[in-house]
Amino acid sequence: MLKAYKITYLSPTSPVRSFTIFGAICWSYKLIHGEKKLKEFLSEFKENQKFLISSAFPYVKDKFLFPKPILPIKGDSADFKVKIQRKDYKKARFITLEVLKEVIDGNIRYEEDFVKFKSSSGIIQSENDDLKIEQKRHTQVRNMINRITNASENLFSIESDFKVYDEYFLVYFIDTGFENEFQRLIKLAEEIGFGGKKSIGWGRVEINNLDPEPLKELIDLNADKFITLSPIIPTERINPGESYYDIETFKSYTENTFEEEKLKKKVLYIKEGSVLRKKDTIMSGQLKEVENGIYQYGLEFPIGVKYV
Amino acid sequence: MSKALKGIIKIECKIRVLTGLHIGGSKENVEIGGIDNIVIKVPVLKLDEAIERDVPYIPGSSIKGKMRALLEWVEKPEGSMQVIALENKGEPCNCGRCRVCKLFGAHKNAKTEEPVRLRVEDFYPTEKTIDMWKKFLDGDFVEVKVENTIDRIKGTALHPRHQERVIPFSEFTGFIKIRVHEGDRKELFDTIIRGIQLLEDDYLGGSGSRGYGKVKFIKEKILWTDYRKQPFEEKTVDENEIANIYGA
Repeated sequence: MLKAYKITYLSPTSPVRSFTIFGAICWSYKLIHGEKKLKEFLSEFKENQKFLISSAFPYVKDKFLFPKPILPIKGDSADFKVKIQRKDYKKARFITLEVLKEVIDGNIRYEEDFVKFKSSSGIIQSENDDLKIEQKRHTQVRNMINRITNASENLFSIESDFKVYDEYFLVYFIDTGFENEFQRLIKLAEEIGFGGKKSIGWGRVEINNLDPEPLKELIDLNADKFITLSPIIPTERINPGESYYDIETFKSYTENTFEEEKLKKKVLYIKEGSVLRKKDTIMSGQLKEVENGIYQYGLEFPIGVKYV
Repeated sequence: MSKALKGIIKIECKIRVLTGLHIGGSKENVEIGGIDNIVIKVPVLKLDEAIERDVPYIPGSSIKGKMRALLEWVEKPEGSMQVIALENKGEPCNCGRCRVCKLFGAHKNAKTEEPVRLRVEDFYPTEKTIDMWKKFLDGDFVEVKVENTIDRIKGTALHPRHQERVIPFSEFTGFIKIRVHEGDRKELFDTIIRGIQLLEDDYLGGSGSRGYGKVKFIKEKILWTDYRKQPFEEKTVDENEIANIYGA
């Protein structure tokens, strides 16, 4: 069962990706049920996933946007006219549902095929759409008050990104009985905040339910060819020779609101928007133990496609 | 961290500015004849029906930092006779065990033994305040105050400078949230209330010794969400019920 959640950003925040949301859910679980129960939950989740989470993507004018799929390029065999236009499409980061459906059906199979749509504000969209995503960089001066002299000390400034637009993320409940619990966990995560520097006001978000109806048909857990909406920690089930993907390495600290932070081991991720082919229909991502008892979320959120 | 979370107390507050408020911001471009000291502004403020840009706000860090600095003049580290400010020679407490560390966190995370209980959100102006600014400041959101130094011999003004300020009777709204863990005592909540009172009697932002930054906290309501219950419930409570929440 698919659920969609809208995130409205009310203060600066760091990027919200599937592992950010999963981390927030785990902290909520630990706070409510205690550490022992969380370990049991994770141990079970590793083998039998209760749900899958996507990263957060823009939700603009009631339209869901998706990461631009990573597709092969025609290169020199493309028309000269298309070659000139290619740069705008290369820079785009998101596509609309309408464009995604064309990719799913195989009407768009190369990066150059996007040119039949308009590319504006980093979004590949139809001529009738006028979608924009706006993000502002915010600088905040920080200091420490000397308790004796009342003077400002250790003056420095920090930059953050303030998203003007809303975002959404999707959750697919494999275990539908977990939905009520998830609702409680996400409510607590909302109260605590998302990302870093929460105790001083960052990461303030409002999370509300959205109607997932337009997306219900897209999610296919059994697809062997798919676009992922979440970064994946790969297993050998992915066939790299027949896939198109971007990779990144990720190293982060654990949450430090409740206990001393720890640096987690580096993990390799296949980024959102990668178009992958699996050797079979079994999960190709994993929940990876990166430190003793600390896990990093890296499961796929698959949108089935007809061609890769 | 073995202390389970019982729930969250949310104090919904309005901060009413009583004298010109200056919380310094930073500017990217230096303009000839421009303002020397600008106030911090949020690039975008989402209101019910509109979006306003570059709107003054009160950062949660300013409220939290000042409240902590003031509390450290009345709170003592565990086992000490002196207040924290003197004991630590002007530095924030990092003992990890006192009420200040339990609420605000041990400074520089030095000796983290307790989860941080306090979260102060950014306080944003109310729509009524934005309308008032537009009406009285010719569409602007701040007043500009010119300051100078008097030459002691000639009696003339020297070093003129321009200072942005939020005008009196502006109101900002937001939440102060306190997490309640198993074993916590009501004294943690009382410490925050004390911090608010200290802040009201002192000042927020810069130039307070010259009359800036007097503010009043108006507690609109206190909400309690008990996360041990499924489904969880959020209800309005009064200050007398706080003791029951802590189980005192």
